[in-house]
Amino acid sequence: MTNKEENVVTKRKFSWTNDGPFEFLRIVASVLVALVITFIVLCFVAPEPVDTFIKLLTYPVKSKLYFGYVLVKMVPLCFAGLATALYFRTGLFNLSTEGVFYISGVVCTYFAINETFMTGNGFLDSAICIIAAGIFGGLIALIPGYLKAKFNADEMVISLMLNNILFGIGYWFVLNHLAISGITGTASADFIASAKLSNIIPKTQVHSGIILALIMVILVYILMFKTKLGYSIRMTGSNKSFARYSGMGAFGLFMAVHFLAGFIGGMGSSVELLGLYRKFNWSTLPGLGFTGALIANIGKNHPLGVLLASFGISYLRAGAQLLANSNPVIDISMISIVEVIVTLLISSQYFLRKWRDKQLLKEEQKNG
Amino acid sequence: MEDIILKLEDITKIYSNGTVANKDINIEFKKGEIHSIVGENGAGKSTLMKIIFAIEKQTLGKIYHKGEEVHYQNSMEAINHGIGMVHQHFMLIPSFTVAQNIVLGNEPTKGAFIDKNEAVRVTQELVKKYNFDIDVTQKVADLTVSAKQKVEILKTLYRNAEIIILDEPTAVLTPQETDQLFEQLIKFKEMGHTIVFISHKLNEVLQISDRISVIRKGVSKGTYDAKDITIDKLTELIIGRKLETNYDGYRRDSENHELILDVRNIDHKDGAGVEKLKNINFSIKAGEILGIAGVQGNGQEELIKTLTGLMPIQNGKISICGNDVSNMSISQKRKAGMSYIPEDRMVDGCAAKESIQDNLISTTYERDKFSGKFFIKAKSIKNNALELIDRFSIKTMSEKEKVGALSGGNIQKVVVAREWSTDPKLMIAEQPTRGIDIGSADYIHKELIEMRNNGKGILLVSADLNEVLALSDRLVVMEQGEIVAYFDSLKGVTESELGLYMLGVKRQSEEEIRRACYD
Repeated sequence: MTNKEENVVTKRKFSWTNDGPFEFLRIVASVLVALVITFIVLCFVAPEPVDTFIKLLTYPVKSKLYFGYVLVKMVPLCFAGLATALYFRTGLFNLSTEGVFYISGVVCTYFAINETFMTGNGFLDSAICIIAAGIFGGLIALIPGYLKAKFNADEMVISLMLNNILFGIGYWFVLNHLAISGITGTASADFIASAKLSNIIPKTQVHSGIILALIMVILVYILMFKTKLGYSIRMTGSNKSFARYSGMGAFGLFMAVHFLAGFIGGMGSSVELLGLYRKFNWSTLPGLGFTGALIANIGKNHPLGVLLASFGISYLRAGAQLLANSNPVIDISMISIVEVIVTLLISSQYFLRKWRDKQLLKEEQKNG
Repeated sequence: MEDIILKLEDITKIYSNGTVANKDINIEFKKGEIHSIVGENGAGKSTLMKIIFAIEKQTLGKIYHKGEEVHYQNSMEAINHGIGMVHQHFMLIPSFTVAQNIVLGNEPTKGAFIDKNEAVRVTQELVKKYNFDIDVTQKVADLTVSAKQKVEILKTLYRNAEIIILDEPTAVLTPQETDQLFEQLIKFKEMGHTIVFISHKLNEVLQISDRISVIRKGVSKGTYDAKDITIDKLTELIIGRKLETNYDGYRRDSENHELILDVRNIDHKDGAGVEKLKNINFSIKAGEILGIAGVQGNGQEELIKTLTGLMPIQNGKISICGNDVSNMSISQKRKAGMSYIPEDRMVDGCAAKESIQDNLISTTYERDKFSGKFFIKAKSIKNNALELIDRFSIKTMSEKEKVGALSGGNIQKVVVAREWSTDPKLMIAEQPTRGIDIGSADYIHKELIEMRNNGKGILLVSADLNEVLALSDRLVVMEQGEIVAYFDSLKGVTESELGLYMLGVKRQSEEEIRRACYD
């Protein structure tokens, strides 16, 4: 009955129109387009556009300290990107990582300034703070998770509103329970030294959080592609009716994904605080959670993509920041234009599609 | 020479997933004729109309309008060139009046404002000119279906359509309304309009058409004068080589005869309280195929959803192999031995963006073969895919290829292969070969027979009478949510006899219908 000749599994020849290479080409093209536009913008805002443009791109690799700055800024973006990628991959447009970052930061601070929780062992103390923040973040994320799983409430609306609520509660807690009297503003007491993450590259700010971020990238990769849960995440995200038809339960899956994403968000927040800050002084939402959505999008919701995207965005931001430090004339917020354009191009399905179709047609005609 | 208003030359349409919907189609439409396009479901009629109306763009081929080659970019341009289309699903705004709906998008204005009185006057004139019987000041929401259809036709006339395409217009009409529509169509013809009439009701087509074009599997099978052709000849042209109507050579008796599926007293009301299923009873034994015939939309969908667990059961009892599964979830039912080939393979049957190997385990990934407590077993997933690709002759470069890149027939084979691999007791096959090539359809039919021979119970639901007649051992007919006929053998059962039951003309007695259950 089977005709073996017909369906021999043959290796396909390499071609730029194949899915993988095409995606790579698109990303490179997107970045180039964005850089060209950056240059055009610089022509308007900078007195010496060419010089400034080169500086923007090369500053971060000029010294060890500067490159360390890129790596350090990359850590929270990577965590937030992983958390959001987990949501997006499941087909959930949940943006609560922003609020989770804030409230978990508060929880982390509560532990990190309180002697009673600390053992004096650097590893254990950091772990206590990070795990506590992670678990709290996970539990908080279960709120939109439960509403989604049980009542099919729109997770985007809920998560956006939740962000404000979490900020409100967190801020209140900081003012009333963590802030020390006598100091103006809203800062907490200093973190206990043993809770802080240690520096791993001398003469830079790079702390051990970057190792944690890399470990999480690997763990999320394993989760997504090597586990049963990951399999149902991918199938549900790809086609919800198909997952339902196949008998996959949405309730447990949604709860698990929300907890895990919340946990990663909480971790990211505490790692950022314990690695870079002396005390908690966020008086607004940090904006890192929303950047996570950007990172997940550029990284195509793939953990390795997230890693690359967080490095790229961090590089750009560091370049802009360093440039602004050296030349106060230039407004660094213009770098957000580049971020937006890159995201737009990479996430738009139609960018370069005409080119690909043309190539495919040519190939067809060549093959007859 | 006669006046050719629209000419299609070598129209070919290939969708990006590789489906060839139309291939080298040549049709000429004359001014002032009623020209029918006939063909099976999925033959490519709708695609062709969408190309004429510029909703889709042809891959190859040319369209000439009044002798000039045209490239309409969108349907607005087609409309402006005198082409109008009445879709199967009406595109009207219920809260607007008839007049407002007709002028919508092209309103008469007074300064910057819409001139409502003028709109009413213009539409009334139109209604009078074409002798319609309709009040233009009424709200569309208050109209009957046939009146809504008239509004749609008036919409095209208001935009000066010379060519009016009607997509299955009689599907929603009663016989009397159909007659009325036909009178109107003949009047349009006399006034010089060209009517393109799409239908698969051959009697109507022969009654109303001047000429008939046949499309089969995307290929045009010629244009014929209606007066020169018989219904038998037309049927042959439409179906082509008769689908193998006899699989008896493949049938073997199964050793197993246990009761697989037992369905008792199933009722279902939809959200609006309309009864969709009324007291459904039937059973299936191992080693047999029970077919359900019926015009689409007579409760088959609700029945399948209730059986599979996609919809909660409202009343009645379902047992699989003696276990009451009435209130079980989909996964519990699957564990009890159910498998299901869904009607719409792209919506329910696969995740198009995921690989073939991942699609092949969606219903079995929790079994020990493919996963442990947490991790999936990549190697056995790959081997499973290679085995099934070979076993079911799925044409692909690699097991890692995305399912969406396969042809329709091969996607359906992926679905069937997966459901087969669950080693079910009961297989529910809903339109298992709809819209796929004859080769794959034949292959899937033989697989279903093979499963039957191996002692599975199979429930086959299909709108394709050929398929039901060819495969089933026993048959029920559904009409308006009820079983109206039961045949315990298909010997001597003809399509026309089934047709009478399907259309509700005939109905068996309660005792006869009751025989669908094994007691």
